Order: sequence, then C-alpha cells, then structure tokens
Amino acid sequence: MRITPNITSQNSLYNIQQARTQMDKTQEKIASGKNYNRPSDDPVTARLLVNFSDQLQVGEQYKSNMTKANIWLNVSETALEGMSATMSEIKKLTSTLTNGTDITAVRQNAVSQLQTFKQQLIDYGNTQLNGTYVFAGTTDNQSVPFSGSTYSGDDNPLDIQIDNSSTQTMNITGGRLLKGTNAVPHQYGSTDILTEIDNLITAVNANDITNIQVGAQKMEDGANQITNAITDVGGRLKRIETMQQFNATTKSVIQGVMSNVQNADYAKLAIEMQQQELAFEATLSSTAKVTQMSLLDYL
Amino acid sequence: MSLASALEIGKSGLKIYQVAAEVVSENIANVNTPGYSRQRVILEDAPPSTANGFPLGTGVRISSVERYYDALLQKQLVNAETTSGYDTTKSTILQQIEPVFNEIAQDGLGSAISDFFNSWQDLSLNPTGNAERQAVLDKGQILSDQFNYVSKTLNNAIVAQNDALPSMKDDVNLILSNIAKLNGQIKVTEQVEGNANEMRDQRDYLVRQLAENMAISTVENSDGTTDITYSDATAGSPYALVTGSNAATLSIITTGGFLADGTTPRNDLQITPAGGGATTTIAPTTGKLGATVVTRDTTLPAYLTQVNTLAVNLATQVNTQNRAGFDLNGVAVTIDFFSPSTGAGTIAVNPAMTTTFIGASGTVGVKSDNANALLLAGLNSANGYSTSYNTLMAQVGLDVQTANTVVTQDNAFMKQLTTLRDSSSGVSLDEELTDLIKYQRSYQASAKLITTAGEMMDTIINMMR
Repeated sequence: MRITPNITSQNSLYNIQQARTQMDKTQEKIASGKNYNRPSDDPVTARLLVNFSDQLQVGEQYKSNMTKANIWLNVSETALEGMSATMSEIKKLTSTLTNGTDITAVRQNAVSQLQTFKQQLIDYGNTQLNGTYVFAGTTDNQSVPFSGSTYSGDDNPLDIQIDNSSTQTMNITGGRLLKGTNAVPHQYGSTDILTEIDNLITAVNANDITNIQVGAQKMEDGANQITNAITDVGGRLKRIETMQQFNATTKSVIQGVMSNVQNADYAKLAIEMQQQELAFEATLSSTAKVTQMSLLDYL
Repeated sequence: MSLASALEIGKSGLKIYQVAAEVVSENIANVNTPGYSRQRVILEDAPPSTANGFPLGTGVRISSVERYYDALLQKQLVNAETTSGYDTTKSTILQQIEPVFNEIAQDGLGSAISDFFNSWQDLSLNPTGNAERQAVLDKGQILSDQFNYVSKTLNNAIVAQNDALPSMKDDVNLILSNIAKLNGQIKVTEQVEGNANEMRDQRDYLVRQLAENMAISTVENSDGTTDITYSDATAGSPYALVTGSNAATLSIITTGGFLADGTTPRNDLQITPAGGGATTTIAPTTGKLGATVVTRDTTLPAYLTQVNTLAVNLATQVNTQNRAGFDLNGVAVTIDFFSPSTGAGTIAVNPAMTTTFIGASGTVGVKSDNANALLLAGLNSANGYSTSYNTLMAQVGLDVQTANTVVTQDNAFMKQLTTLRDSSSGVSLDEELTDLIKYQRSYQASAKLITTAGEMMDTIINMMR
C-alpha cells in the first residue's frame, strides 16, 4: 500500500484520539470513584444500580418507620408496666378487704386509696408522645381519651408499614386495655377495669362482702388483662426487632453488591492508567518522529 | 535528420519538463487540500519521422495529465458519509439529553418519586402531624418540578432539532447549486478538450458533503456531468437533486402541524426537483437531515410520551386515592392533590391543596387514622412508577450506548476508506520531490542537448569559413 504523509498524520491523530479517549475514561472512573457514571456506560448495570438505590431508599424509610414505632411501643410499654404495678397495689389492697371490716376509717382509707389508684390508671391511660395520646386509637388524639370512667377514643388499629408487604399495628387502644371492649382481634380480657373499681369502691363503702369478693376477682382479671397487653407489646417489639435486623442485613447485602459493581478498583485502574500512559507517550513520541521525516531534509 | 530537429527535440524536452514540474508543483501546493486527487503527466514519444531513412521519434510530448481516482471508492465514501452523518448527529443529540436521566450521578425524577411516596409513609406514623402533612405537599411540589424539568428539557431538544433544519436546508441548497455549476463548467471545459481534473475533484468532494446530509445515488454521464437523485418513502420518490447544470432546491413549510410541545410549528422539508416539477414534501430518514427529523419526530417524542404517561398515571392514581380518604377534620376529601394534569409539562400540586385536605384517614369522621396514607404510600410499588422510570432511564442509556458504538464503528470505517483513498489519490511529498528532481535533471539534459546541438552547428558553420 502506498503511504502518504497525510495517511501517517491522520492515523497518528486517530490513534492519539483513541488513546486520549481511553485515558479520559479511566481518569473519569478514578476521579468519580465509580465504574459507571452515566446510563450509557452500561444500561443494564445502570438499571440494576438505580433499582438497588430505590430499594435502599425504601429500606431507609422502613427503618425510620420502625424506629418511630419502637419509641411508640416503648412509651406504651412503660405506661403498661405502670398500670400493672398499680393493679398489683389494688390487688394487695383488696386482699385485705375481702372479709369486710366494721371500722369506717379503714374503709374510708381503702376507698381513698382505690380512688387514687384509679386516677393513676387514668393518668397512665392518658400517656402522651409528641402531643399525641398513645392509647386513644384513631380518634382525634389531641383530646384526653380517659376522663372519669369513660373512654372517648376508639379501638381502631394504627398500622405502619415495616416491609414491602407487611404492616404492624403500632397502638394498643385504651378501650381494649381498661374497658375490656372490642376484644377481637386482640383479646386481652373483657374486664371493664375502671367501672369495676367504681363498683368496688361502692361495695367497700357499703361493706358489701359479696361484691367486694366479686370486685377482688375482677381486679385479678383486670391485672391479667394488662399483663396480656404487656405480652402483646413485647411480642410486637420482638417482631420489629427481627424486622430491623432483617432490614439491616438486606441493606448491607445490597450495599455490598452495589459497591462491588459501582466502586472503582483503584489498584486496577492505576495499573490500567499506567499502561495507557505508556502507550500514549509512545504514540506521541513515534508521531513526532514519523511526521518530521521528509525527503526535503536531505535535498 | 537535421541538427535543427535535434534542437526541436531539445526544445520539446524543455517545454514538456517545465509542464511536468508545474504538475508537481500543483500537487505539492494541494498536499493538504481536502478532496484533491494527485495528478501525473503521462509522457509519450512524439510521432516518428523517417527523414533519415528510418523512423525515429521527434521528441517527447504530453499524452494527458491524469488524475488518480477510484470511482468505486468514491461511491463507498458517499455511502459511508451518509451513515456517519446520521449516526454522529443522532449520538450528539442523545448525549445532550442523557444527563437528565442520569440517576446514577445525581438525584432526579426517580428519587423525587421515591421521596414523595416515602413522605406518605412518614405521615402514616403521625397522621395528624402538621410537619408530616407539609412534607407531603413539599415532596409533591418537588416531584412536579422534576416532571416539568424533564419535560422542558426534552421539548427544548425537540425544538432545537426543528430550529436546526432551516440552516441545514441552506447548506444543502448551496452544495446542490455548486455541484450543478461545476457540472456545467466540466461539460464546457471537456467539450473543448480541456482538463477539468480540479473541478472533478471539487465536485466529488461536494458530493461527499451532500451525502453526509442525505442518502443519494449518483450517475456519471458521458459528457462529464454527474446526475444526483435522492429517494425516500414519500410518493414522489426518487427526486432529481442535480440534472446536468440544474439543481433542486429544498424549502421549508411550517403549516404541517405542531411539535410535541403543541405551540412550535413543525418545519417540514420540501423539494422542488432539478429542472422543475411540483414541490413535494419529503421525509428524510438518512444522513444528518434524517437524524434530525427522526430524533425530532420519533426518538425524543417517544421518551416524552413515556414521561407524560408516567406523570398522568401518577397524578390520576394519587388523586383518586387521596379522594378515597378523609381529611384532617375526618371529612371526605373533595379536591385533587395534583392539578388536572395532561402530561409531565403541566403537572403541579393543586393550589387549593392545603395540609388539611390530605386524606390520610381511611374512616369517615376519624381524624388520626392512617389507613389511606398507607394505601397512598403503597401506590408506588403497586403501580411501579419507579420501575417504569428506571426502565425509561435504561432505555435512554441503551440508545445512547448504541449510538456511540455505531459512531465509533463509523469513524473506524471512514478512516479505513479515507486511508484507501489517500493511498491512491493522496499527494506524497517524498514522491513529488523525487519526481521534481527527475524532471529537473531531464530539463537540464534537454538544455544540454540544445547547447550541444548549437555547438555542433557552430562546428559546421566554422567548417564553411
């Protein structure tokens, strides 16, 4: 083939351009620390990476949901522990009254204590978190759910999403807890604790031994009702803890895969860069030599 | 044979080698001229005379000045220019819009979609929270902005292609009229036995430039002119672009309809064939013109349609689900979350939408229920908004990658063809210099011949004294 100086210079330019393009690509990877910098670098991998990052984003949201649910359930649990302790006190007190007493002062003292305990239960029932009543169900939870022996909240569940396809009820409703209503689906018991305390107070005042004994039994049932609720909360906390671990594992697996695909391997790139540099310098030097040669120099 | 004829032969040598040196200098001068084909003087011996009783040539003469030219290579170059023109233009346009979809490097529409539905998740944890409700509105606003931005960028790219057509049309018209002029000049020059090598080079170069704009086929006529035709799928095809010294003209009409944005009139190309004929609308699919029209009418609108469909679906489904819920006062929601949206360009959060009217609750009269917020948060995974956006992103990436790969191949192919063309037609300075020395020596020898013949004449004249 006949080679003209123009062919040589065009070939040189083409080769220099190719070498520069390669170096530019490697340099971009090193500078950004990423193997893929735009969808066209590898559309299939790009899609994979974006799907992964969507998954991570959703995972972060579930993590945040679970953290908030955890706080909610812990606050509920603290209140429930308080109620349980109060119920123990009530049980202890009633056990001293089951045979009745003629001494008015003792009865009055007992009534006053029962009233305090009842108020204590109501106070626990009105526990707030960030201005929201945790036991109020889904009614307007800006107003007090327990007032006297009446409950103005509802028994609707407040579900939150903890994974793609699973939700978890976050709240324990006051009705189920202290009024024994809406037992289904979470049957804690059917004791209307607040009204039963009222009945007990009436019985103690009247020294009505039969009803005091009935009341004592009801208090026993009530204490169990609250213990059941505590168990339920414990179960929910356990489920969330499991899901949190699952969430964290999924996250680290995805991140691992992503960084395997996306993170630039600096050692490999540095060596590639060196090779390309060498090739580029060789191209430059040979171009300079070849393009300078001319018969003119010898004429 | 007389001494005078020896002088004549010497004279022809001087004259001819001067011309040969001229051809060499023409070659050297045009070493960098694009499209130039090197020329050679073809020498032959002058007709013999039998003055001495035996036939002997009467010196040297030029049979022709030949042009090194490969017609097949020219045809291949014409075709390659068309492919390269199309691919390069398409790749450039696509690379300009790729950054909009570059979800790998920065957050764009894709992450705005995820953020919006995540904000409903946050709301589900505190259905009456004002901050959470405000966040839903804000994320909705950001989502609308992102949709608007993507739509605007795509529409701008479409309008830019439309705007490029008039100047491309002018380029083509200029090339066509120049080819026609050269055709005329070549015909006239060659009719009088002249040498039209340079004009042929110029014409071939212009034909290659024309081919970059649209696919053409050429026919070389016996009178030295080249006829050029263009074909596409329209009814009047093929169209004569150049016939002899007549050129076709491209023109643009803007009455054919509107672009995807609905306001900019679409520029349609029309052709008035060479030598007259009805002006017809054409639909180029090849070369730079084809790439511009195809990306304007097909590629970019297809992306836009997908983004629009996504925007309309998302807006409609969010509106329906929000209306299924009950607001901060436990009352059924009666207003849309997104303003009635006809596409990504117009989607917006309804100005009447306030934190109150977000339908988080799923039960009438119940304020802090979160059932509907959960359903809304689940719309993304149920209807796959993120998935369809990611598919679109991968589609754009694939298109850009394909275009880039094809351009790389085109460049390699063009380089190969150019090298082949240069190999036969290109000027080699070393070669020319060698020729120059050769001709210089021959010139010197011819001069020596003349002085020698002169001296011989002197000898004879002196003998006569």
